[in-house]
Amino acid sequence: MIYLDHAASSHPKPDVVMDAMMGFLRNIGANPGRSGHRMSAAAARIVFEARESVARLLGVADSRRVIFTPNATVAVNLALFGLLKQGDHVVTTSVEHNAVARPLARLSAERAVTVTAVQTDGEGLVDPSSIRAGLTDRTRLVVVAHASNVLGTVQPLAEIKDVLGTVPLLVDAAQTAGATPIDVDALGADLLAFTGHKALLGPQGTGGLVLSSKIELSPLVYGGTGSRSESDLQPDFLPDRFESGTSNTPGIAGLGAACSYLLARGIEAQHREAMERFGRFLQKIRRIPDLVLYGREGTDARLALASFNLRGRSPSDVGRMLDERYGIMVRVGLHCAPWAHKRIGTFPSGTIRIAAGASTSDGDLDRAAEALAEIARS
Amino acid sequence: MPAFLLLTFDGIHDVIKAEKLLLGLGLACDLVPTPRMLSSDCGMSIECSASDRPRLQELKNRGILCCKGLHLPDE
Ligand SMILES: Cc1ncc(COP(=O)(O)O)c(C=O)c1O
Repeated sequence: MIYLDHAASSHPKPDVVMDAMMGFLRNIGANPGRSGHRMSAAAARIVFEARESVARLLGVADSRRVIFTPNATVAVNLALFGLLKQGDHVVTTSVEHNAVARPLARLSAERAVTVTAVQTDGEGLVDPSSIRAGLTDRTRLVVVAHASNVLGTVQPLAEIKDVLGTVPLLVDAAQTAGATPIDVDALGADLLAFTGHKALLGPQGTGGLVLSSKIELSPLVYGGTGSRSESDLQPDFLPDRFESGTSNTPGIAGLGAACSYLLARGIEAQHREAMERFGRFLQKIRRIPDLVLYGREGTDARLALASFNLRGRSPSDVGRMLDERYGIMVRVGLHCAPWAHKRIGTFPSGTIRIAAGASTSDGDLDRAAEALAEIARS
Repeated sequence: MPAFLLLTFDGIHDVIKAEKLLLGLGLACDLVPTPRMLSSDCGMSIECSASDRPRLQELKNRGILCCKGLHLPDE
């Protein structure tokens, strides 16, 4: 079995991730910080250390500003519903995921929020000056996916931040956190949503929102936090303000271990290696007749993922052949990002997407390239 | 003079952060449930030795120790 669907969810996770989750479930299991006993304190220490590891990995000085959520989607919803008010304007890009598109559509209906989706170039790259051109005096937020999950194109966040003035930036780092270096504080990103189960190598059901100290958000969920319990009012301090209800502590234990693992290995070095490997794969599949490759030409400003089609065949047929005949797992269709497919002209049938991950070898990619060449010939 | 001093906090994140700091500095401390009279704070507090009060107060003043209050049992 060759798993090349890491952009949907990475697999397998490092052993330390599974060990941390099992260790919590087997030996601790208590509610973190709620109960005042030793095991509750032990659970709270696990959540604390995980938060510190995530903060270190994403370049956040004060880990209280890392809010845990079940995934990037909830983090994006918290940011958008927590920030946007009646009549606000948002600038975003034409390759965003439904995690951004759908909450914005809801906010358009509910709060008359207006949205300008700036057109990217054909490779999915956004020009910062076109974002600047989209700003109005009502613009309350700019939302940009750090990398497109369809094309793998990585946006120039620092250049985008430079043109925004005082308008806050929400980065959707679902695809990049763990894959490429991110320094939230150096970038000055006001909000950054991440998910734990992709390149961060953590379990599903983990993720979060990084908040800058300048941003005032309303919570999405209200309830118990183990603090200020005598009051009906939601606490105003971090991270409790945004973390009501018992957390996914086994998942967070795994996420913390995954971040420590990545910090020890070094994200920059890992990314360089992954792109060299993926560059060789791209060269091979470019030689396949009738294979149409989308996205950037080279390997700079991109992730180790590629969307393509075989002329005359539907993506779902190719995906099924790869699975049934070759044991190769890829993702076909729209990848929850119809906007991006409209941009590159592959809507509504979509593309075949191959996404490498931490466990992907040259041999895995070679076999995928050979399988695609055979399917194209057949 | 009472033997113990209680440090109270906003939330559990700050409790664990302070515990790590104090242990790192070699100061004896123990996590305990917050007594009811201080229940507007986090459900857990840190018990320290009262003899460390000047040192703890200084850490708090310098913004290194992120506790809300330092309480003696009769305060
Ligand atoms: C760009 C982008 N944003 C958001 C998401 C949503 O991530 P999750 O499903 O973990 O909430 C994904 C994952 O599919 C993504 O690729």
